[in-house]
Amino acid sequence: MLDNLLFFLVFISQILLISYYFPQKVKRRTRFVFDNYPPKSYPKLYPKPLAAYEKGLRNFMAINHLILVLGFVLLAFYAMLSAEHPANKKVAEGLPIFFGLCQFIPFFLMEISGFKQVKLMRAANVSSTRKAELSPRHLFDFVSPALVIATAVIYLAFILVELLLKEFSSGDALVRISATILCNLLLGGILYWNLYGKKLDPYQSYQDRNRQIGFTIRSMFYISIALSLYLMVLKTIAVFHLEYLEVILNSLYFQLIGAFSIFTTLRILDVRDINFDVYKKQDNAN
Amino acid sequence: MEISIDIDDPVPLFTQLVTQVKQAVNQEKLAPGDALPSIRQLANDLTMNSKTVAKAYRILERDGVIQTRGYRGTFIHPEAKTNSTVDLNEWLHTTLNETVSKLKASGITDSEIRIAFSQVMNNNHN
Repeated sequence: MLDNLLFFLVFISQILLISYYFPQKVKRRTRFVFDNYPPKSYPKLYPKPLAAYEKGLRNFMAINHLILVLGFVLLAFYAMLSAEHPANKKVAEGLPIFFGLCQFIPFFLMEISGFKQVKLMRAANVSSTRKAELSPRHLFDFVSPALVIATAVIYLAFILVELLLKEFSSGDALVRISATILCNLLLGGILYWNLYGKKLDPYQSYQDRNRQIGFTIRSMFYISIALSLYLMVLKTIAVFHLEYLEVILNSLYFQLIGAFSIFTTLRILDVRDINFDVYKKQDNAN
Repeated sequence: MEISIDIDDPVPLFTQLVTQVKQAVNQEKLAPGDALPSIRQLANDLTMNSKTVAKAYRILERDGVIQTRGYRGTFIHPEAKTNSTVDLNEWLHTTLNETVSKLKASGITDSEIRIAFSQVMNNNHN
């Protein structure tokens, strides 16, 4: 009963945090940009008419509201389902993951539209001048060696836990280890692409770009650490037959990932710190 | 230190790069031992072909303005400032002009000079 109550609280927190609080933050941030950096003074920021961005924001909020409602419907179903099951047994443990993936859809769509936006900005960039800083970018300019070592140690600890605690067959452990290797390779690829890849926003200042690269790289390390810790805890609760806690852990994990990827973006990459002068009309000559 | 390339400029892109690095060294904006970005990074930042940047780096290395230290990267040469004042390309043109003028004064025709030049270049290549 207590674990059910705990899950309700955690799941309600997941619903409200990812589908209400974060979207509201995104909406406020976008409104701030629309109001303070309008197309008239900052035309380079708007390769499409403002109405298109307003519509995009409305759609983003509408999808989030739908998911918010879906979350409470699913919670009601879970309440009915769990009442029919004996205590201390796992019930619909995949619910927070399935719902969490749904919750990330609007943010994923927002990322895609962000890529389209910079593509349009590049196409609209008529300037023949290309600028770059003549200084190298290295991984350790953006993250401390301690964080890199900590990530590697935690990942090795995960592998050890998987191999030593043989609750399941060793085949399961190998599948999980292989999956995490692939996941870490993907994170590494994103890291490399951010560090040495093409400049997406043609107008972005060097300082802003460095801040963005630093934030993204640190996020990759935190996500890798979170994944290793999550899987280790998951394994531990399986060994100690606490599977009924899995559903709570899954929900907390998604909230953590949401906090890393969305909240920290909004907090660390504060819109007031961005140099918007590069998008001004008079810079056309450059 | 910021570098700026104009893709509409008739001056080749690699020459613009070489000139700007040499100017930066002369103006002491780049000091001996300063690290330079990798070819890939600079090419991506300038949205240029990496072969163009590699060509510029090769010329700068030949001129003793930069030096590559294996996996550690590319750095400004300790004698970069002295070497930046020597323009090998300009010296090449001056020497060739003097040689061609001397040959013409001896009565050798343009086509004979061209054929001989090609033969010498081919012989040196093989």
